[in-house]
Amino acid sequence: MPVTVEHSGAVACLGCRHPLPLTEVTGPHGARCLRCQCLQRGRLFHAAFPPMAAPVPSPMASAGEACCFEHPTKRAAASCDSCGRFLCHLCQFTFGVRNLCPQCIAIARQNNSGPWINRRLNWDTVALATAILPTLGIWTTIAGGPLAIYLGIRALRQAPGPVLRGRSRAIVAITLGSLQVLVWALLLITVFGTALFRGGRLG
Amino acid sequence: MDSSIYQPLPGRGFGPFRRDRIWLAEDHFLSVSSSRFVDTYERFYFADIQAIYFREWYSQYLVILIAQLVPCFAFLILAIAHHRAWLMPLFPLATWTIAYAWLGPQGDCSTQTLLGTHAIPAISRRPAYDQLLQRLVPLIETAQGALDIEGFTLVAPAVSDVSPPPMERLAPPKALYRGWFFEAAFITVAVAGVVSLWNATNIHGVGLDRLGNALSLVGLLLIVVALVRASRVDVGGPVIGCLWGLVGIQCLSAVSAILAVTMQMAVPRGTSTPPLTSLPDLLPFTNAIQIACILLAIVGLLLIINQKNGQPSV
Repeated sequence: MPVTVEHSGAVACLGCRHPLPLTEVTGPHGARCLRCQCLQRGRLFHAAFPPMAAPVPSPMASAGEACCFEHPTKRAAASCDSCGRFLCHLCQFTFGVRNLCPQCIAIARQNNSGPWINRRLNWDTVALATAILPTLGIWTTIAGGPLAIYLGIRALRQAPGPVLRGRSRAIVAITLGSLQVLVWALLLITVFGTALFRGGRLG
Repeated sequence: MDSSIYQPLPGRGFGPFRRDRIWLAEDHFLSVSSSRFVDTYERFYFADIQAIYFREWYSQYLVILIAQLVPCFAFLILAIAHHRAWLMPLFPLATWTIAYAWLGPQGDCSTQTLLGTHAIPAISRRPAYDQLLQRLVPLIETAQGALDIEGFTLVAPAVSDVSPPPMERLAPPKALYRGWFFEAAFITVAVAGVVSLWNATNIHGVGLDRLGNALSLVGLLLIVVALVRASRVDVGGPVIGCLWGLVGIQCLSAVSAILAVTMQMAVPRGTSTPPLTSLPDLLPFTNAIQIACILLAIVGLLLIINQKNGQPSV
């Protein structure tokens, strides 16, 4: 239950909306909400109190110029990095290195997701799980082994993520998958090879 | 992307199905939340950060600490009175309890930007939060400029004098009980399963049976509470209150079963000692309460389904 900045000089508990004194929240001992009794401490920064300046008027769009999606008479100043709509100065919100439109911000706030959140499937972990889990059932390794090798190779070819991640999982998955394939191959050769040999000798 | 631009920041989260870290870059920090199979990356640029908050869970911290101390105490009694073999589970549990207490109060950390409040799951302890602030505050103030808090307090209303407004029932966020809560619930159910399996060894059939029942009901009730909250359906305060009350009663039942089993097992077997086949009836209405738990859980789920079906589709 974090707190949000409600207005200059006070913050509000997100759970009960009861205002908390700013000096106590930012102080060393924090502030206890008078209603829900939870102890909250925080550090505010300058961005929490944006200057209330008048918006910069956008120039009128002339014929052939890109115009704002919401204000067709205004000239576009940027495009939304999420949905691609053209934006005027009024509709443009800069967030980090991205320009976002009000609709995308509203959707992101509602869904707690947005273009600044990236997800990455770790193929190496999937490959390792595919190599290990089928060993719980012996017969499942017939499919699990080759699949683990394929997924391990795919993991090795996957583009690296923002944070360095080792290749050990993929290598272990390929090794385990290869062992499973090898064991099955030897088993098949032993069973069918013997049968064929006997069949050939009898014939 | 060049991975060398990121330096590790203090704080990390561990769990059976999650692993969280935060990394520092030149103009932002990166919160990586991993469910082992899928990594989720969130970047927070220094120029956009409005606030960093930490909410402490003193009560939960103490409850968990006591919940860890009870089995420690039980194992200690068993080791002294029964057999030294009970020291084997005592040592890892006591080490874990000491580490838990030493790491400091738990809590949840979040950062606020223009786009809302975002949880930082890697920071779950006060010392880690303090270390994070030590590293981040100079960088954020370099990007934004220092904030003079005193200047704002001059225009602030006297909030301590403000009477509390009427209570609002806010829709809980979707991620409210994601992560630690579900993990706690599923671990409780798993422990109940282990206890039930242990029950088959006939060490103390009645006591372990009761303990397993109580723990499994606690886990199931926690999952139901989480589902009720996550569904964003207003099932009413009394239903949620009853669910939490039943969770508490079942926890008490589990603790009392642990203590009773410990005490009975600690008594040396002799001719005058009654056989360890029954447990004193500490909670005479245990069975009725458990049936009430199940019924209430079913009612809660039916309410969710009913209200969800009645809602217009978006």
